[in-house]
Amino acid sequence: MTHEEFRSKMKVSSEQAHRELFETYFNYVYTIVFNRLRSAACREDIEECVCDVFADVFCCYDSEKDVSGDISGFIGTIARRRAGLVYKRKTGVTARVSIDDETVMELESGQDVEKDTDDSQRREVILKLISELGEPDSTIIIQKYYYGRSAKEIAEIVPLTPENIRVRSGRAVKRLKNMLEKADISL
Amino acid sequence: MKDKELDLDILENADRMTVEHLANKYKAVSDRDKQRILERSEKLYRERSSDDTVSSVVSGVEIYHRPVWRKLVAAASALVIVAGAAAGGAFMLKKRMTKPADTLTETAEDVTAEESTEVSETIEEVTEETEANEETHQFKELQLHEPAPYVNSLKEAEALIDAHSITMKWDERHDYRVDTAYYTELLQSEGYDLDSLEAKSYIYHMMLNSFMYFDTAKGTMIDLCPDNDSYRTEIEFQDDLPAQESYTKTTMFSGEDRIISEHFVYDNNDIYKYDNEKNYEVYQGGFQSEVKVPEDNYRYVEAPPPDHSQGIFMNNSFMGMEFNELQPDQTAIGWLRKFDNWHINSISERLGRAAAELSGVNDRGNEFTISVDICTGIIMAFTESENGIVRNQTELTALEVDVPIDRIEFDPSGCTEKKLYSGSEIR
Repeated sequence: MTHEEFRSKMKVSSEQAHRELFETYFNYVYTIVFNRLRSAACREDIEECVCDVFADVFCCYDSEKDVSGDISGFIGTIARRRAGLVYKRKTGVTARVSIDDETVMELESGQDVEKDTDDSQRREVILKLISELGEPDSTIIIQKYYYGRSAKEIAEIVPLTPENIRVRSGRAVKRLKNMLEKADISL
Repeated sequence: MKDKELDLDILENADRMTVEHLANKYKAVSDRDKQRILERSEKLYRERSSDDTVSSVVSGVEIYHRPVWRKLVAAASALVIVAGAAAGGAFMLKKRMTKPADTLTETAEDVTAEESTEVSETIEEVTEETEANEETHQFKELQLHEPAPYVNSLKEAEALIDAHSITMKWDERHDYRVDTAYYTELLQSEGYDLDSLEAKSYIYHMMLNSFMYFDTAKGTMIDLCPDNDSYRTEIEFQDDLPAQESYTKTTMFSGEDRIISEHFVYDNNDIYKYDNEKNYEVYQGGFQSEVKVPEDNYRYVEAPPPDHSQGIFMNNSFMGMEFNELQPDQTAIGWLRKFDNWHINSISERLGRAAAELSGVNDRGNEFTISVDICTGIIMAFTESENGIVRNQTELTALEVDVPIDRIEFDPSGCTEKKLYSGSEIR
């Protein structure tokens, strides 16, 4: 959805425009927030953060501003900022250093470029291999081992019973491990 | 109950490309949860619009008070032990002069006069055998629990586990039991400290190794959805461990709707009858004639990132949904390996069996209760709560152990063989 399209819909009905925006970008926002807060917050906090993101978008969007292009950048930015705030609160990262402090020049960025590049490549391969499992196994693997959902919860997303999801996930893990071993990747 | 078979932590806090890939390809939540979040978002928007507190909210003034959800230490990879040569073993055996239970004396009282002679002769044979066994019967010594060993890499973890494992023939697994008669009596004796290292080590051992302590199990269980009364799953099961065969019938209730499926495992076949029993699919099963079993204190070994740890779980692929209850080694390793996190509160009676009542807090900060049959290690009941709200709840509603089981075989009449998933759209 572009900014122009969203503004047009807002003129007709703001409530309807909000719903369409939610429908289009919910998965995107949830994924951004979950990806940031996965190990720092409980599921309720993650959902609350997603609610806040959309409430922010609805409240803060200025229909008078003449902005063009894909609206996903605006939404993604709000999602990342919100998730970052929650992450900082949850992990207690609050240290601040004055730019005038003598020690500021000695501060390391904390970024390991080589490792980040390596991780990025590994992620790409891992996601590709998970996709190659085919559906519904790839969805089951992501839902179970990334999103941490139970077989019962996954059954609301894929058309299988929890029992079958358990059986399939066991087989899918074995297949994926073989594929990872051949690609010389360990998790 | 969370598992450690696959660690996807690398996907966390990832670059935009990874996030976009996940968002474009995989649904994050169910439609039901999405609707709930939409309604909450709209409500928040209405509240903020009427309160005129938009600027303070966007700048992040709100304070979250909920506890942190910390993930379990993930296994780098969890091997499902199916077979393997023993690299060594340290299963210590201890002689304990006890007599196996003799039930024939009670039975003898009920027989007719014509049969009594035959029964008496049988009793004499059993008594002679029992007396011979008294001198040779040995139980494994209970290994008192220690914190998980720590090594420098996954390879070292694998080597360490191998060095503390044995290969056990499936039909000889009873030979590796601890003396349950001794420990069950101890746990129920007056004045005994249930929270002692010995008591907790015993319960932990039983859950890790329940497959050694019974041959057949038959019963029913329910799996509730505490936040929605209209959802529940009822399971009927029967499992024959020596033969590695099982039958499970699962009925999922969703309001007025019911979905029935059945799972048959026998003769190396794994048959799943689904879609209210209209269709079925067949997989090859596989009998495991031997299993590699590490000592209790070597079922889980920690290592630094990126490997993290190695956990060993027993093969339960022939069981149905009841596997979490009948062979709860994953629950034990995941939730109970840190003894400081849980306690044994009492010994109660459930379904005519003595059960240890456990309670604790797992690594995610969630409270749990577990009832464990002290004679077999089977989980009788389980709850997990998040922020005081019960999220998961299962309970055995009937259980018979070591009773004769008649195999239930699959009847394909009226069904169509059809792969369960044929590419229909993800809901």
